[in-house]
Amino acid sequence: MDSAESPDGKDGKQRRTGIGWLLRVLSNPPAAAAAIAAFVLWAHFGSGIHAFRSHVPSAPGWQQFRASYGVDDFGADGYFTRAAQNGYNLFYFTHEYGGRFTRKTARDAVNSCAGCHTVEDLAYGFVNSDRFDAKLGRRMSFEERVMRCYAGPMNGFIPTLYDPAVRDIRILARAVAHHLQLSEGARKDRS
Amino acid sequence: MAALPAKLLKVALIVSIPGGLYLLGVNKHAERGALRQAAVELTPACKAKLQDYALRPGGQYRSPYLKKMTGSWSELRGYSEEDVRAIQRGCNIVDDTQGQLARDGARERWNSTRYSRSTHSSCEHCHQGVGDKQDAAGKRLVGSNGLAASWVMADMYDRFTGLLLPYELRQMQCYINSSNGFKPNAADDLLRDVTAYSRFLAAALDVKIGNRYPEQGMDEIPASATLRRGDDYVRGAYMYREKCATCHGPQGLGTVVQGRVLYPALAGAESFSFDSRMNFARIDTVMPGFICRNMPPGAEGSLDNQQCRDIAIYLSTLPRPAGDKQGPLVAAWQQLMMTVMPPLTRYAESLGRNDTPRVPD
Amino acid sequence: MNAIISALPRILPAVRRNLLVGLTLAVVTLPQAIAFSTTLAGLPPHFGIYAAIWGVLFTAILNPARVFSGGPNTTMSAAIGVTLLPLAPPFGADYIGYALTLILLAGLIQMLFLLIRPLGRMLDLISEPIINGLICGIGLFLIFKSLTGFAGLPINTEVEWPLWIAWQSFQSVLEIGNLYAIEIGLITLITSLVVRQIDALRNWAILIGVAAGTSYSAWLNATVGLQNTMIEQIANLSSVGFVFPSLPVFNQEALPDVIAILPGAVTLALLGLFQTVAAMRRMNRKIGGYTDSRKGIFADAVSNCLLPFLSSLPTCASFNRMWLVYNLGGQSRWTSASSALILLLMVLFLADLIAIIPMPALAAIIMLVGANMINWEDIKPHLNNRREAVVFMASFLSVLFLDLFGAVVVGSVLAIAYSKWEQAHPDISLRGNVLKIRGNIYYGSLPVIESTYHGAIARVGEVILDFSECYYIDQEGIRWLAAAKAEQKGAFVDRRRDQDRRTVERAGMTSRRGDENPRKNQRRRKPDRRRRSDF
Repeated sequence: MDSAESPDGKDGKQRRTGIGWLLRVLSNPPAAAAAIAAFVLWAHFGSGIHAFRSHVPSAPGWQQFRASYGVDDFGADGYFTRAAQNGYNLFYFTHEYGGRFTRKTARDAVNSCAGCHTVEDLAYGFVNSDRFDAKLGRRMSFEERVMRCYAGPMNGFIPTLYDPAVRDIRILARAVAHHLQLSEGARKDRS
Repeated sequence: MAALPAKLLKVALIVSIPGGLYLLGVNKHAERGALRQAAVELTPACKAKLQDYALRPGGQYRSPYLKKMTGSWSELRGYSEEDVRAIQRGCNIVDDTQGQLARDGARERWNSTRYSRSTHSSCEHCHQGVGDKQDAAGKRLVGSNGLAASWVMADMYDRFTGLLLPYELRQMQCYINSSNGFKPNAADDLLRDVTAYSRFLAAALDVKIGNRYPEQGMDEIPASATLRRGDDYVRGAYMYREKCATCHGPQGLGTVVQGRVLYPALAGAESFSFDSRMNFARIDTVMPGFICRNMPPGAEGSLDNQQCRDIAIYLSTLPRPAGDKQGPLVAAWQQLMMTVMPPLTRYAESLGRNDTPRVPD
Repeated sequence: MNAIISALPRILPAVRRNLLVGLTLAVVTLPQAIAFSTTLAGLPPHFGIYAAIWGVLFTAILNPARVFSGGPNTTMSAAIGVTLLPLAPPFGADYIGYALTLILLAGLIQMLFLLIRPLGRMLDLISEPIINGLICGIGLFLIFKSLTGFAGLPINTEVEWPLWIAWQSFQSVLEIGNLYAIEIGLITLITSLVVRQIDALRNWAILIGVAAGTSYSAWLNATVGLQNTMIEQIANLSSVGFVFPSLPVFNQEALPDVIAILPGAVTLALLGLFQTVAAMRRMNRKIGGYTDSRKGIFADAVSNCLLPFLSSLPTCASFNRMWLVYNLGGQSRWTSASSALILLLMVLFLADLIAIIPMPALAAIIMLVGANMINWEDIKPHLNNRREAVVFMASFLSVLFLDLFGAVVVGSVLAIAYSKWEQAHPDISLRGNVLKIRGNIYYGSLPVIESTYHGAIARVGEVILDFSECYYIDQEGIRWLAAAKAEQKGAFVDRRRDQDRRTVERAGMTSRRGDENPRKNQRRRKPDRRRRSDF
């Protein structure tokens, strides 16, 4: 390109080889821009890699879940319903949708929250959270409990408090707790 | 080599200053830990309320309120001693945010005054009845800003942005707007204890997650609830002088007696900010609703809807601190107005006092 | 192919050197890039990584200048975070979508600066004191912003960061911060600072600091357990391939939010362009030679239009990176390209190791980077000149007391005002009775000139106006000069060398015929004796 050590582009034979041609293209800024744009287009359409989109992907079983747990009580669509749907994805397919915070993969036997808990557990856990934990010797919030689950049983990492990986689990818990009409401190065995 | 001692000194500084701060941090953490274990001195209102709701450590919790209202006991999870203390502290914070009733306000209220520029504001002023206002029969009042009802509907929408608002963020908004202050950190005990108290109220009142209860939020009076004669701040000023000035002061600056706020400021540096929902200029339904529901104390419901709207629009004309969204110029202007207008108005009114009244009494 | 093979012995040493410098650059950039993206921008770490790979590669390809190195940038990452925090919770899908849209909008705005030449030229008006003021203010801003991350606390979503909020954050850190996180952060910070004192290891200080912090974190997690330490880490990168296409958000329901982030996009675009232009200017100064800033704008604009489609932070030129490469003897473009490729390999094969780097360590890195931005050597020259000092302080304080958008607006207004002020205040010196004007005589500068002129007349009676170093006189200036001449209190002299005058005469500028330009007549009327004087 600009250094004296680059291959000699003046040689006719050189020009015909792929690398020489590429270097010539890249030396010309507008052509380089076009080449980069072409690369981006390839990444999107030619590479076969699934592009990130910001909408919440639809996971198997969601329609049935939303019907049976009355999530639409909060609206057929909207921020809350989407957050609940994301919570559903995280809960049942943690390795796929919460992959950033867990090392579990599809090959593991227990690779999602659903592997150990039911959503009812989640809801009851939510209304009984923010209490003293004897093992820890202090009060523990629901979010902290979820974070510890990611780190421990899910062999992963600690998400941030505001991370949707934590928030949407809480919102799923709320949606289910609403469906079950739980009150604060409700006990599973007594209801 | 002469540079070596200088470098060593630098290294020593680099290690010692952060190290010193770390030790200070460890000390402060220990202090907090000790405070969490300390016995809580309740304010009178909290003492009464928590006694009514039978808050005590135990394996299970049964709400006397529920028994009174429905005749049956609920069997909810009990609270440990640490939970009880957190709830008690939360109640104290709601009742007396500034710590004016406490022996050591800063320690007992988790430094709440750090996050509030206003020295008058307290959660209790808007969330009356320590977040749970009931009539004599125990019925929860409509639009009384109940904290329990707020908790069960948390993670729902923020009216201003339409985004989901977790409970801690909603509390932070109160500090920013109503107290004209700053946000405490989400992990701060200041917020967590109020959450604990709200959740206890939710247990005591047996409200269900996700249900909408009438006591949630503030009552609202839109123009459609009046005869649509328009909101007149001159009428409002007259009503204010008649009904409100005796307690809240002729210029809305509040009444403070022996360091205790009896009646909070409605205007001026100690009042809620521009961005608050209580500001008629922002949302014109909330303040009228609050006034009609709760004011004057002892004579609630004596004002009609139009009068409440008039008083609210009058209050919005008084100078108050600018909110975060207004920017520095508006903030500077409001500061100027808050400094200049009260003495100017007092002077102007003292001049007019000797004139014959323009309106017959 | 034969040509390449025959050229190998010649190019091999250079290739080796570029690879080595590229490796240094890669390991220096990686922790910073991840820190910018997670701590400042609120985006998952792969955004910073891709900026350090594709962003660096694209700018290396697009800018044909000899020294130009783009890459992820603190200021732009902070601007993203500041703009988007009110809109959506960080790290979430919504937030990422808005971030991509924001970066694309910023790229398009930068494209406008490229296509509309006068706009690009206006960037040259952003003088050193303004840029340095912005940079210092942002450095301080970065230190404050990383306080909560340092202690493992949730970020304070209060977007404005005045000093008093920073103080409250500091107190929160002391009172409720996660002690394990604080320990890790302190170890990173102290190690980096101590290593920096050793000249040979200066460039590696940050990496060594991060390594120390990570080691301590790993030991803590092994002994106490991650569930108890609650330390956030970079987390699982194994799903991050060599490229991750992404689509910015552009649908009907998001439109109000997209409109709301437009000022943020302007801020982002301008911050990138300011820094690129300033970095290139500084590089030109330091190494000699000249590179047109338009090339930098071109590289920035095209990169930032395309990077949002590859899940990447925006890029702009980094003087520190360029200087590092230059000092290590690398050829900027090849070095950048090799650093990008090395980084790609590192991320693909060392993902497990990168995953356990703790966030408090990255927050400490941000603090260090912020502190480095407040460079006394850069500030001192500005404080010597009163005008520059005022502009510098205004720029610096605007970052602390207004938000970034306000700071950028203030910076732009200051730039224009500063240049106009400079023009309107020519250097006027009075020696004896010679009043020498160095600068322009036009409507803006006349008030100053006239007051000095009349003051001089009052003092010394008769004044000789020497405007041989006057660059430009407009009609108003000519009118004044004519009036001054008519008063006959002053004489004019133009002490340019005779050759110059002859050139000017030959070019027909002085005319014996008409009086179209009174200035020409005045110049001719200069008394001969003064032409040979020794003023």
